[in-house]
Amino acid sequence: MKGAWPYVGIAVVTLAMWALLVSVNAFYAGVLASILIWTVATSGLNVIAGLGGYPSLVQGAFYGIGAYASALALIHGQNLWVATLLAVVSAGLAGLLIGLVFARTRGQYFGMGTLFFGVVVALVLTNWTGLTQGPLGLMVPFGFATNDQLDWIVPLSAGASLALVQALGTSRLGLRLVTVRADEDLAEHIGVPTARTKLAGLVISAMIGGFAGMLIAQYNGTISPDLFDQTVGFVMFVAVAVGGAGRVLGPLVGSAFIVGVPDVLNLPSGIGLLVVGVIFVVIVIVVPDGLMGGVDAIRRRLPGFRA
Amino acid sequence: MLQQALVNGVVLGALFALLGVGLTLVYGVMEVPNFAQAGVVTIGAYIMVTLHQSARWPFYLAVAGGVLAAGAISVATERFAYRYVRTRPLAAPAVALGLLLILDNSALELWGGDHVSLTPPYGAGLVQLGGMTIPAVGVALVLTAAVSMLLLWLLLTRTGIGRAIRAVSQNAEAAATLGIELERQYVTAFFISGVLAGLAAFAYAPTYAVFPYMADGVIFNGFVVVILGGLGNVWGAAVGGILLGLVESLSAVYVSAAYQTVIGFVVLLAVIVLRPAGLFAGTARRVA
Repeated sequence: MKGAWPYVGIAVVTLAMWALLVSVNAFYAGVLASILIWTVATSGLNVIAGLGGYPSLVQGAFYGIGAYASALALIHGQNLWVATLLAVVSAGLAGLLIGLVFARTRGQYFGMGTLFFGVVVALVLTNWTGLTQGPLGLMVPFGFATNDQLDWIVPLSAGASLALVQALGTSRLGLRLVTVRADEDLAEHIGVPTARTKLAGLVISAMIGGFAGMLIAQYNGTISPDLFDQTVGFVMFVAVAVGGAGRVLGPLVGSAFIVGVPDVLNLPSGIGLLVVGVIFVVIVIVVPDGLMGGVDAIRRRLPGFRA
Repeated sequence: MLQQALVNGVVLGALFALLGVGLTLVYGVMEVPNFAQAGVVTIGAYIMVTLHQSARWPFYLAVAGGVLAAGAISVATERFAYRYVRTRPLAAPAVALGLLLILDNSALELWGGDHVSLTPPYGAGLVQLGGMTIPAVGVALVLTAAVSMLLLWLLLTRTGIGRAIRAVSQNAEAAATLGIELERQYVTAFFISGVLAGLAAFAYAPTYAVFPYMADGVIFNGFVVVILGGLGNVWGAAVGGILLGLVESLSAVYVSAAYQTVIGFVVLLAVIVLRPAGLFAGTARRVA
């Protein structure tokens, strides 16, 4: 597919999601909205982890920073525009900080470093009670005019985040990230500024994650530190890998799987996480490129398919 | 207060070292960050509690059962999952954390979320040492760690099994060319790591409680230790463990108990940035 077609596809998916969201009952609408908000957050992650191939386990922290920043801004009387800006900027700054420290580390060091950062953010959210009220969490003032407005903002944001990754993937930065994923040393040799590229990728990931945090705070109405701890960062990485890292629709498919399956089956949290763990291990072992990669592999085997 | 903090630091450090050595051993042979070890600790601890309290086994027999079970579970994680991602380093952390979810939540389903306790015969005993009072469980922890390290050292340096593991860890391809069976070394390393996880469960379950997520927090410290010591460096991990224990317990007293883990993280950060190969980096990676 070339040119405008991927965007048309994303627009159709977005419209379908909106139609589904406003027509199903409240329970399924809630599940679908969670999936779509996760799609935003994991699309962000798809930039550094998917295009760049760097196992960032800190996306949950950006999501949390965005949620708390927007909530605090609204609590202190700012409007939603300011709150959203604050969410995106503060998450982006956190991404910049992590990038400056870890952009020169590779592979598993990067994974572990980002994971620890997630732990630190969760600890701060829990312990800085003066600002965050600790484990009790915060009530988030509703910043939109109506619930209907939120109902179209959520699918639109999901679609926009998919489109953004599609656009990034063909941009200069995206291509640089892909070369870093393919072979970082070689990329460096042929003149790709790898450290700067990773830093930019991480900051973009963080900003999109922060925006998703604003959405979940608005949608939920309350936020607490356990929604954003290091497990969340990990499960987001899982969602991207399950959907297909670096593939535009990967985050949507992965989020639908990871968030949707336990929610729709309505399993208690223990069994739910157990199932998520099993699904993930199996998918990572069986289809290395995730579900979207699996779809491609099947299509290649069908007669008459031309790549 | 300083003295007490130092003692606490050594006790905590012994635990970190016990976990870190197992992690680094597995990393050495397979380059897998084995987060699932936290789940192995948890299930090992529950098996000890069940054998001791429900099946009425004598305490030390129950502990031995739990330790062996932990070794077996650790081997199972290798046989059923890790071995398929050996050549894909980026998939390894993801599989590791997936396994951790499976193990923790299996514990939650099998034993429930309540905190239970594993009470050794020396339970609430206290040891007087140079004017300080140390809980017997703390002394047991330090002794367990010291004896296990010593045995591991003997195993790695004085036996054929140890030589084979070290060879794989230095260069798997060369070791295979020379006739060392790689599969067997992977299984052995995971078994040892699981046994160490079981010993860690025995050593610290009496101080903390036994519950499904009991080891998730402490495993992070295990990884800090692994990086402090240099990935794959067993003695680095042992020394790094004690060091981190001291740093954390001193900062709990003099800075803030709530942010104890953050201080550990700052130490890690400094090491990653300043000495990326670990504090004790030599010219080559070593496991002994």
